[in-house]
Amino acid sequence: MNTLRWRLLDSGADGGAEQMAVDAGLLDRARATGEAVLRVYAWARPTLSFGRHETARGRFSPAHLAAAGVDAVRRPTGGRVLLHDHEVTYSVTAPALNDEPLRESYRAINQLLLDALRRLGVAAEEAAPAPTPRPGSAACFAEPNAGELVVGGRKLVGSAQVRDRDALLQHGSILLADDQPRITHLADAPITPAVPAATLADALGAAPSYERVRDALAAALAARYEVLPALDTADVLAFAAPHRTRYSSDEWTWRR
Amino acid sequence: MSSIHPDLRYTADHEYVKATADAGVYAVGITDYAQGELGDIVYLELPKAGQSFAAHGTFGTVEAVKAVSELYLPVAGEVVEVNPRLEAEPAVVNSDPYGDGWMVKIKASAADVAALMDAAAYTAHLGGK
Repeated sequence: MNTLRWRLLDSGADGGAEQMAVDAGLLDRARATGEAVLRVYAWARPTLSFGRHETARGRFSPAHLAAAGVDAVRRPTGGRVLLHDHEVTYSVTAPALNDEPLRESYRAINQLLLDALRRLGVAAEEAAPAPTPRPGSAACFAEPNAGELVVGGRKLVGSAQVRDRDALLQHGSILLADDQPRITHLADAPITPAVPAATLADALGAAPSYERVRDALAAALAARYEVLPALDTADVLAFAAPHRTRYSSDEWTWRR
Repeated sequence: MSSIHPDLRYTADHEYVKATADAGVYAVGITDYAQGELGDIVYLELPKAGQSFAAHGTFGTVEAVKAVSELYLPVAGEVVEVNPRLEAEPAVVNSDPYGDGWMVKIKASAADVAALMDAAAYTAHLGGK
């Protein structure tokens, strides 16, 4: 990823379906332009996101979530259910480079995140290898996977990736406060309770602002890559448009 | 160094094609190199028998260690069988990619299959990986 030209995009807060459509659109943009984008965004409403292949039906219900004031989307990426509320979300989209192995791109993005966290004053590290559970067995922050970012053994950043032969998308949540225990109360069936996640509020004594986390990510990006002028969200709407139908449809969100 | 079988055909996207006992029917899966790169496979989304795909068309997705990757059919063909074992045991793709870890069986043209990379070409493609 060292040879890529990067752009920063601050999308701010929006609905979950729109945020997923923009991430999917940026994957198309990476293919079309050969540029990588580090995007930062937030969630206009508390939103549950399901992993691409994860079973949602029977575990959660649209009626229960609506009554709790929680939206639901299904991500294009793998992994398990996550409640997005008090967090700063990042996404990285990049063209595939000469068959670069998946774990190398994962590691390069982790180094970027670790640098940003250091700039905020948080000493995070990559989790040690552990067996991978099947999707649908637990919540995303229930236990850290190898390569995920932890503080004191507890997961601070949960990430997921999707790739095809031309490009990759990795997105993840940097927790400001721990909303994950709420997932247990939103579920209709028992799910493995989340062990307490690490949060920036715990690590720093108070939650930093969205802007401070965004600026730390931007500084970490500029320290290691060639960064072109920032993108406007308006510039990526044309790429997001073809993906809106899928991510706003119940057929996709509740397909399993 | 990844395992490469001498009698199979391969693609640059790390899928293989293997002749079966039935003439014109081939098993398709991912190579040992591909499963090693992906890491522990937790879920496979595969097509249904009867579906047809163009050469290099996406026939499914594989989810491993929190990453989802597309699966490309090496040659044009119709799916005649889907490996039923992978629904419950996706990790078989990791443990036996060229054997019990096959994903679909397709009806395809022998000439199309013969035009794919042979083991020597795929070995060179991997470049010692």
